[in-house]
Amino acid sequence: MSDLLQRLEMGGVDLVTREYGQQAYPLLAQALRQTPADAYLVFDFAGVRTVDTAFTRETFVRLLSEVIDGQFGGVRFLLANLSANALETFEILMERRKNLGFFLVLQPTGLYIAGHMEPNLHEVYALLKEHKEVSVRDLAEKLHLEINTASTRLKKLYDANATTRREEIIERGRQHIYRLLGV
Amino acid sequence: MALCSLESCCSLLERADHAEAFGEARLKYTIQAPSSFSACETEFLRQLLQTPLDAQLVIDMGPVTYLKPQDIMLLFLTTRGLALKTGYRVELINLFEDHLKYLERMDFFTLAAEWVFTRQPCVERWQRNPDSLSCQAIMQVKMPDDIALHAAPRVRAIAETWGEQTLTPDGVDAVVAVVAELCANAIEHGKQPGYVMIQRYQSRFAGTVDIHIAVGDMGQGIRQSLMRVYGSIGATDADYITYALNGKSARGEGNGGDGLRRVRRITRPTGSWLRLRSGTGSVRLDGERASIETNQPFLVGTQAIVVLRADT
Repeated sequence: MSDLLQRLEMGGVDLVTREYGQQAYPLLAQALRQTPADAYLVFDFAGVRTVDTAFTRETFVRLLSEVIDGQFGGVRFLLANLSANALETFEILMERRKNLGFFLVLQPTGLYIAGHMEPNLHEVYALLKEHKEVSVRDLAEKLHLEINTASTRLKKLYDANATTRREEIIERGRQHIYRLLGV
Repeated sequence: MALCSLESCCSLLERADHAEAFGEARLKYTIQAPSSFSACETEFLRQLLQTPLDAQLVIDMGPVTYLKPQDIMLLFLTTRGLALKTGYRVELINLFEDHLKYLERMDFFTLAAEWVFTRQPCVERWQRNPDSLSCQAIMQVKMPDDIALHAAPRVRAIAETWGEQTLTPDGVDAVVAVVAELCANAIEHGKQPGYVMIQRYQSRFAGTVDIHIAVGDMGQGIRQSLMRVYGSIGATDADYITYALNGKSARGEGNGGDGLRRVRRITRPTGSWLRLRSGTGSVRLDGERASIETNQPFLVGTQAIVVLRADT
């Protein structure tokens, strides 16, 4: 993201204003499109101190909405190393956008959820943090869920930009393996 | 004929750009400034509104005991509105030497030269050391570049010179965030230039350090801004200020309104507060406690004051 400051010719350490957000969005979107399918891109905020609400809305909130909408296929993104101030900005924005869910943020202290995650997904999220990746069958067994329920919950996390997903051929056919971003 | 209000200055602003320099009137109308503009704002504005349309306003600054950024911003913007209304520059008289030097140091007379002046010479100027400042002179912001490339970096540079004994890195970020959010609102919704200034105050007695941030504009005000999108949703200007503080935006639902909520979050800790003044209303937030005033003299545009208690 420090590179972004340079590319936008902003200098400094602060990403601010709607207009600069509008300039930044195509650069970020292009980076996402260039990310291999079923992989994830990390937007590393090291070196960035503040991000104002307008900039964030024009860039990452928009990107999250479009990822959830499927506009980037299976590509996902993760935020990393947000300053306390920048993290608060994301939290403020997601307070009023519960329909968008949350951002996953990788901080030096670990993974953090900025926004709202449905209560029934917390258990799944915790399991993914522990095991890094699971299949539907793994989840169903570990949490004593019906297969359909396990599948639905993993898909929800996937759709919410929290996991990647890859297909694996097994004896019985194929299965999806879900991996939490950032682990 | 006395002024009824300072409304409709916006249309005058467009003419002002092409108007000839203000002249000097034969009729002068003198008012006394209050000892504290912040504490006596209502009375001061009521006096201003009594200025005859064909008179030059003279403000006797003798009674003023101190000037804070919010006082300077109030003086800066209200004198502009007055000058536009009457066609004559406002004169300040009987300034204490320190106040004169302070206003000069804050570029008050430089930026406001079109509408305010003093005949008092500033004999000795405070030295401007760009590397060691407790304040940022009034800055004008008209475009996003002014915020991103000038105001934000400048404020950051100043706040960082105060050292870790005044502000932690997170505290510096908070100051920058407040300035960026409020300035963006000023130019976005005001459609007129915005102005910002900051000042650090240290109380040795209380052992506290406060950062005062004042941002103002002479735009359409919060009520007009929100009514364009939502229609009539409140009875008073203070109602609209409250809506704005809770996230309603002139850009419509989901497209804005987060900046003031961000500033509210930053000013939540004890000792910090935020005040928004627009039209006839004002709302001050100390944490979650709100003080609302609904029947104040009309103020053109919007003024925001934020006081951050430094997190030392």
